[in-house]
Amino acid sequence: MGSDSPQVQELKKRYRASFPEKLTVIQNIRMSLEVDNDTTLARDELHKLAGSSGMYGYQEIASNCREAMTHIDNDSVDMLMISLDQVIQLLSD
Amino acid sequence: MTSQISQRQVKDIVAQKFVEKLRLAYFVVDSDLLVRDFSSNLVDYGFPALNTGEPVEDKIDFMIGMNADISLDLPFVNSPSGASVCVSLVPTDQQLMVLISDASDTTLQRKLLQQAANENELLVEKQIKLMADLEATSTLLEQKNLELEEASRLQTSFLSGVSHEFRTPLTSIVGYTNLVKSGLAKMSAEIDSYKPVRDQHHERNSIEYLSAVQRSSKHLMSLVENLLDHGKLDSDEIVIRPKPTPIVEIFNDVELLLKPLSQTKSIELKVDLQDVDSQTHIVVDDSRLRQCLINLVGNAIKFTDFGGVTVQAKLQGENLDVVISDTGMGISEEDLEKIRLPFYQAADTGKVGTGLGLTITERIIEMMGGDMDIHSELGKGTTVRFDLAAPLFNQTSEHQSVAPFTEASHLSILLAEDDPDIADLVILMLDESGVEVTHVANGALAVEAVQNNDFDMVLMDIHMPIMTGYEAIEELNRLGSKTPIVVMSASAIEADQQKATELGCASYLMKPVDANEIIAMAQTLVK
Repeated sequence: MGSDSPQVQELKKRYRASFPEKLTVIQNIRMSLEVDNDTTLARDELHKLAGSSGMYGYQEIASNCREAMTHIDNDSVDMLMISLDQVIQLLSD
Repeated sequence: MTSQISQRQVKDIVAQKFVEKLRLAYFVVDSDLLVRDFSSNLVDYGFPALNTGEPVEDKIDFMIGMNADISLDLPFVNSPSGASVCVSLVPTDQQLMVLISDASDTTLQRKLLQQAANENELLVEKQIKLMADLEATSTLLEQKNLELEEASRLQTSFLSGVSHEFRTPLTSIVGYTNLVKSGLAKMSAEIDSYKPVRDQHHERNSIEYLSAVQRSSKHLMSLVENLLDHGKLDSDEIVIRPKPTPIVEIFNDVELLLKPLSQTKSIELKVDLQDVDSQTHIVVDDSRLRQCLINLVGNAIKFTDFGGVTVQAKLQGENLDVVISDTGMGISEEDLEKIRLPFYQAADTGKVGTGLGLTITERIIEMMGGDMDIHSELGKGTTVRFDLAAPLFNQTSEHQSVAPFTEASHLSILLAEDDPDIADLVILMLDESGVEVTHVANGALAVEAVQNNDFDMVLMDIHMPIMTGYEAIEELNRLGSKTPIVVMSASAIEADQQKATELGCASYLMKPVDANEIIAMAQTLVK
């Protein structure tokens, strides 16, 4: 982080500032999963968040998103909910 | 006094000796098989005495039904005395001379030969039987081997299955504990002052209890991960993915992670990284190297109660040499031979684990082109030394001592990425390194851009709208594009990586990726 250029630092700040927006998306997904088991949207959003959060240095968020995607692949909705809760918590910290 | 012996006399003497030696007897019959002449020694073979003019068939059995003009050799005929004789029928002018000689020597030799032949045959039979036995044993051995392999495969599969089953509830325990603990900590921090002291105390205790649950669960998780890794090693599922990595970062991480453990045991942990600085990059699978270091250094701390643990590392040519020494309890010679075996736990250490850590570490080091040695003295400590292939990043370049970013100014990369957060960051990082970046946000635009431009490399995301990355790659393949494509995705699924390989992609980079990684890849491909 220390060796980042001002432009990269600015991008990282902008990314951090987008957390509330990302949090809303994940919360909505979590709510929709409670009434509908369709995980297509969840998979797309988690995939995007896993990629971008990892690139911006938020490894814990990225690894929880990947974990959540594994639960989707395994049709384990209960486990998916736990992972989503963790992602939600990390985004709200 | 001299005596003159005529040639005739010599011939007669030789003939006489020959006749005596062969015990030659004879008789002569005319065309009606009536006896005309015979030798007196015929009776020596048990033949009856012959009289001139009598039919020979009345006296000698083998002459019954014979013709006087027949020429025949009967090598082994039993004479009436029981001796084996050779009979030769020699027709002469209107007469038939029958010569009878002793064949007992020849018969004996023949018998011996026959005996030897029989023995040989028996030996051959025995050999055939032995070969058959050997083949049967070999087949049995092969079958047993197959059974053992199958048993080992089943064991691995069982362990992997059980580990997976364990991992799911464990993840749940770790996850929910984390959530409960964080919630409790927040509540505790926010409204501490409004609560009775007893409640505050109770909350703090609960947090501590939850921390204990977390520690135990994480320990269980690491055991399960070891079992899973062991299964993957057995089925060759572990793949080493080297990439340029700052060497200091790896060792700093290990120190940061294990320092608390050494502090709880009041022992010193010293990491000494020689002749490198924060910019030194090596090409190595950093996560696997971290795993090996954490395992070995963690073990050293675990088995050391006094003194400390020292980690020394330095680059030697294309290799990274690491020495981990401790002042711990040491390992006995007997245990030293066995500790590398899977599931082996040295007795009386009082430590728990799967006994797989060292096996996995050694196998991974071997997969990374290295070797591991362990020296230990009971009561004095242990030294683990390993090396592995870790070439300096950019060192192999023909343009030695040139920073990677300088070379990158020649590169032109197409970035196909729909997520603006990622695209902006990658564009900026590459731009700062002097790389010319063209950005598109879907697969269709990527295909169009490649057709109209000359890029050194395409960096392709997979999940994109309108046309996915894989669809775009298929289309480019169909159009005969030769531009190298590197897939960049957050998906850790093996099938995705497999598909990239099947489509002929140059490589698969898993997000997060940094600019150095992308540039290193492009430089390799341009070469």
